[in-house]
Amino acid sequence: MSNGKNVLLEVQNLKKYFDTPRGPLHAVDDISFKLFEGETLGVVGESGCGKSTLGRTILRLIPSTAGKIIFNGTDITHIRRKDLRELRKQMQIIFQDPFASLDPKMSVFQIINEPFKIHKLYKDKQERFNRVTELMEIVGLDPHYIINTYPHELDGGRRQRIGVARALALNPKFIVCDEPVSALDVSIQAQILNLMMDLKDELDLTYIFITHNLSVAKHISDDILVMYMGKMVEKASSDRLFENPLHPYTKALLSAIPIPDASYKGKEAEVLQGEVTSPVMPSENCRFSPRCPLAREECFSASPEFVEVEDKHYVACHLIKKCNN
Amino acid sequence: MNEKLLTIRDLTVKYTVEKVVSYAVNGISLSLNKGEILALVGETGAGKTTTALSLMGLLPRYTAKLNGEIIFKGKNIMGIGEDEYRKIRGREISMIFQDPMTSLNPVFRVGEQISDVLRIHNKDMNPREIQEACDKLLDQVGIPPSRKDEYPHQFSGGMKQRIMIAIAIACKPDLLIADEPTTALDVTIQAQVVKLMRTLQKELGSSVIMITHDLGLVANFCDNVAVMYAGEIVEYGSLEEIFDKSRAHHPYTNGLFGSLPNIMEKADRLTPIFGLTPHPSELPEGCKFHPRCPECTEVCKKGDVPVWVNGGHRIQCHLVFGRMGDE
Repeated sequence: MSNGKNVLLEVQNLKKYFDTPRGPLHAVDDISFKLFEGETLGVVGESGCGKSTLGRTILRLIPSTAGKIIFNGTDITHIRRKDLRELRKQMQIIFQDPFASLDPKMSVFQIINEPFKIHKLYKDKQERFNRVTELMEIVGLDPHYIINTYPHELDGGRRQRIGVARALALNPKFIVCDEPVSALDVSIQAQILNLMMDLKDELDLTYIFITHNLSVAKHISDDILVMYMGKMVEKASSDRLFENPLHPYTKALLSAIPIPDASYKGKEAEVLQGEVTSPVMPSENCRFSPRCPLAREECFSASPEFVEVEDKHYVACHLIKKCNN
Repeated sequence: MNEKLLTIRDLTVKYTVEKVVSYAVNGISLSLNKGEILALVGETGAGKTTTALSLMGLLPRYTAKLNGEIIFKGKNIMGIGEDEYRKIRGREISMIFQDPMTSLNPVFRVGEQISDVLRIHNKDMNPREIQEACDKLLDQVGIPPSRKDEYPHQFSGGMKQRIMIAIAIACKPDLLIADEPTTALDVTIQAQVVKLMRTLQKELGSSVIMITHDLGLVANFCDNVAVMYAGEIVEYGSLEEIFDKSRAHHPYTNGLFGSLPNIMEKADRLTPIFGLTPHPSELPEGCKFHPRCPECTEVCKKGDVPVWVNGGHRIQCHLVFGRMGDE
């Protein structure tokens, strides 16, 4: 996929720690990856693994603790507010909950128009109106009926389309999609996923797609990054990851997906024991070790490195490194 | 084994709020055997939860109007008094709610919340016996009984759902209604809870009505499936019948399967159902699915919809009926 394409986003050793009374909470811990133009990176993991924090840190909605974020060739880790605002034209976000991410006191027109107001684009009123209706049509909303309604009058699917239209308003290159379909019904989920894939092709977008749903991640992503407690656990192309998952956590995640097929009735999947432990001041070990069925001594004493074990297939696991050497 | 536990005949539920009538459930009929696990599948607004709440006798008396029959253990429990319902609810029929975060009372210790159910329904148990039973329940759902003096906020989502399950099974109910018990949980925790429910169901021999929109969970757990749309059961059959792609299905069932990204096969595009679920106060005439149906014809737009029956498999659709004939 990456042949001859430019790197749009590069993240180097990114860390985000939150201060808590009990010590630093390692929400994002040493994440590095490159994202090529026109590709989609799926970020997968359970709640609390830091995937949303990663998305927000990359967009500089929250400051990072350490590491570098390079967007389109410029280091944006510490750029000034004024420059950041310019940059936001190119990078946008779609939020998870369409019921909470739209201002209830603004009409649909005002919501989609807001980016133009902030960035002082389209001075002419008619021009703005045309652009708003155009955006609504792009995301499959009928401007005639909806443009003057308020979010509470609309259902989840339509609201999420408004969220998408708002994100597209400034012609961004790059969008962080933070669980954009998880609050929606299955049939609506499929509509929004299709819409997002079409838009990506038509408008040449690059996505980071954050989700806890592996089937959705596989469907939309080129590459998938699996996170566990702030750490990178495994990264590979989406086909590769599903064909040959290496890390015990990825394997457990895959086997926990219920398959909609009658022949799976009553089949006991390998159920992962225990729950995610606290990311506040974690000890220097493999963070998955307390739940790992294969863990042995070294897993409890040292943190595994994230290494390439096959072509473009990265894993952080003591056991995997062993078999390949 | 084939003893009937529950029969629902022609259940309708109407809500009237400020003179607007919402038709939440429109004439559903079902029956459930002892030990059977039935899935109620459908999207938001299909009437799944309303059906469950009407079995529990928990619908608001003044706004919800019920009609039809609910025969539970040979007795019609529709419209019986609150005193009588209290004896059934929690003891013979109990429910696991969707969101464990909001269903537990935050100001009571979890042990007390479990003991409450035992105390209300077992007047002859003394406090020590109740404590012992409570410890045993916690143990059954995989929570160390030593944690019974903690408050709900001290538990994770998965553990809260285990506590909800402990409350629901406290009196060994004949019928357990699980309303989206795993939707609010992470995948690995989901798998743990499903495994737990399966084990407990086998132990207790309870019948289960599982309300869900997760077809994966249905395939994994249930015996029979009822697909609901706009307050009606549009298709009913055994798990094998519903999931067999070579058989005839209701277009809505097909739509649900098409909307689902499947990790087993690579599809470039999903085939979603066009449009939106109708609001229950403005249901279309004729087949309620016709405005969204890709195969809609003129006959679908008016009148009653015939039901095609083949053994236990029922499909409420003009087209299937026309194509397959009245077998």
